[in-house]
Amino acid sequence: MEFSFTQEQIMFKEQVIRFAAKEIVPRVRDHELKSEFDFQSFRRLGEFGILGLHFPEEFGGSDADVVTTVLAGEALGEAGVDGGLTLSYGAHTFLCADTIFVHGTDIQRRKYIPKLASGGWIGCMGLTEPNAGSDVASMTTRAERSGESYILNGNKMFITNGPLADVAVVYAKTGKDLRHAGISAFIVERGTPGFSAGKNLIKMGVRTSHTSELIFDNCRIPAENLLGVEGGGFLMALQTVEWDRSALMAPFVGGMTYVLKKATAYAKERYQFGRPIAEFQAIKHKIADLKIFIEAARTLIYRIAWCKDQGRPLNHLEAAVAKLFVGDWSLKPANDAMTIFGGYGYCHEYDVERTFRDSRLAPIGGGTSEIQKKIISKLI
Amino acid sequence: MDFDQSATERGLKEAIKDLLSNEGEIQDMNAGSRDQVSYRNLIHKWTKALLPTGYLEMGVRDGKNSTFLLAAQEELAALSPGVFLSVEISSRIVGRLLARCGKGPECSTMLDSLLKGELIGSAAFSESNTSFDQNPTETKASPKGKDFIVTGSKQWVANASCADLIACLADLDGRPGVFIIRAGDKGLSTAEASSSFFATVPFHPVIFEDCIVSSDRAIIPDDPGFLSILKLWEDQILTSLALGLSQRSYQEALAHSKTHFSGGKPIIAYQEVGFKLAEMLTLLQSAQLLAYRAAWADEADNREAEVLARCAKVFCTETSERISTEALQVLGAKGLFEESHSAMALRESKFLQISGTSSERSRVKIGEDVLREV
Repeated sequence: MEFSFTQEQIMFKEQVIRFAAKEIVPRVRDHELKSEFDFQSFRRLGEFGILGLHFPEEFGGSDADVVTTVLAGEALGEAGVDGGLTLSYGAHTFLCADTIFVHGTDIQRRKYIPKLASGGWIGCMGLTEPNAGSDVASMTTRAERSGESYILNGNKMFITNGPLADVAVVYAKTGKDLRHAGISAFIVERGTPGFSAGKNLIKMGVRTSHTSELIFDNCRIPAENLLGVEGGGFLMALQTVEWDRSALMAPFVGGMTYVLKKATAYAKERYQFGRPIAEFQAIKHKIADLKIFIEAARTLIYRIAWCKDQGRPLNHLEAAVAKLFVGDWSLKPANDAMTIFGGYGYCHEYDVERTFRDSRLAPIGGGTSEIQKKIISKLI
Repeated sequence: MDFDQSATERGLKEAIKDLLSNEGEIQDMNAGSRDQVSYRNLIHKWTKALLPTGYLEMGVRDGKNSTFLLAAQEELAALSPGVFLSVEISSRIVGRLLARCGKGPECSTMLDSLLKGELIGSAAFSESNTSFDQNPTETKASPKGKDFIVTGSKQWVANASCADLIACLADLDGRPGVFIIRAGDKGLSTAEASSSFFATVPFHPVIFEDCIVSSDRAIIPDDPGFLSILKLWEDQILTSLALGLSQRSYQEALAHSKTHFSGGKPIIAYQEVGFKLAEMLTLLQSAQLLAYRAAWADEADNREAEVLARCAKVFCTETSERISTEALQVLGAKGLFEESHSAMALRESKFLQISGTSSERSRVKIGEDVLREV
């Protein structure tokens, strides 16, 4: 076993940290406070090359491997970029663009990937429904073939980037009475008659990422917008969850490193009883627990990235283990970080309450912890 | 980056597993307390068996941990925690001490014999009133001509009653030194066993009453970080032992959950059991990866090696307790009333959190490491 990064990977991570700290982080607090999506920062992510990092150069990407891609995500969090923007980036790049890239035709790739990689367009993925979350196969959104078109009817729920997206990858049932095998994936563009997004849902955390319902009311799309083959959607969804459980988790773990650095710096400056609180064992213990969590979590995430780089097609066990660990074991250190700041930790300007709120999504989004346990217990 | 174990790592694990594949012998190794002679024979038997694999020598002369060594340690620790602990103290603590700091032909001869399994070593570091990396030890050494006189007592010394060599940490005019005392040397005695942890391993108080140690067997290092290195070696051993205990508890609970039926189906089919096992595996894999990364960092002289080793010690030893307690829950009455690995592992996980650098001290040190970085 060997855990080193290449010099290029290390340097690139440092570059991303510098870029994000200079160009994105100064805008975070204001946007977070107003729950506004930061279009400018999102576009800058595209210009810097992060949105399409792992796509080939001919599609506007940089041909990066998955480990480098994950490191870039970690770097964004480590620089202090909020969980909202990184969630939007994750949903855009990995759940939408990557699905089109991997399963789309050459025409579909050429039409959408460059726009998505540059940040000119925003993408989203519609899988979850009001009554079909973890149980994907029970979805009720339907796509009926009608000549050279499909007609979509149904609703999607909790869709990251939903109100903003220019293009959506939407999962719907095409096969009657079929569960997983009846799920297909489609590309739906904004402005298509019958397609609309609901209002932005007010959330506990990740507030700069806008989330909404997607509504399909006799939405007619060209048959050529089918991704892959009819019935192939479930496999696509399975492949995207690996991204969900690696690249999307990386900024969150990076965010914990950001908070650790902030908490440590604060503990050295904050005096109580005539000495910095950093000198108290209870504070050192909290800092240690944060460090231990971060080191354990990042190794799990690197492992999935590495597995993907080896071309191993489905790494469900590794992905579920990483997701479960990050989701369930991050809550205490996130809480500890806030406690180190005392009353200030409860205030917006110190950023830690934001991380605390953002962290609560980790055991819910991208498959709840219970679903990860279900997956793991079936595989062992 | 490579998350797969190499063919050599896998080969070594297999070799150890094959050596110790006889279930009866493993039970014999893990059986209850025994007398000094039979314990010596047991350790000699297994050091001899391990000799062809190169296990005893790994990481001794360079004093480094490695993923290769950890793979082998994890395997042996899972098979027999007691034999593992005895062998590790002998080779990875006393052996490393002799290899790194020993001077002169006698140290070299002792090292060769330890690594051939001909001698058993013991490390007498702990005292009842002090932690050796915090305060000077109360055991004192003083020069007498070309020799040294060692006086004091040590507590909880593993291998003490069966060792050929006891490495005694003592204070020499405010500096730490290690003095190698041979079994039978005048003034050396062991008291009644103070613990039955790890079943086979005798832990004894050891008394040094004006023991004379020749300068050939005195290790007086110049390195100011010497005591931290000793702690690190101890912690690395305890980390790998924790992985072995966790692995075995998880496997025991998993096997039981698939063969024990309740309500007409194996209990793993119930979410309350299946989910417990999922959490156990998640913790086990998280602990393994962190420990292997720490071992790699040590081997690669990575600047984070020390803090990663501390993180791994805390996380792996605490994880071992949690996995074992959950395993016992899955095993139900069987785990409590019949002799189960998980019951033993639960108790011994506590030893791992206290021994070496305790979880509390480790957290303080990790906190200080992080504070220095920012």
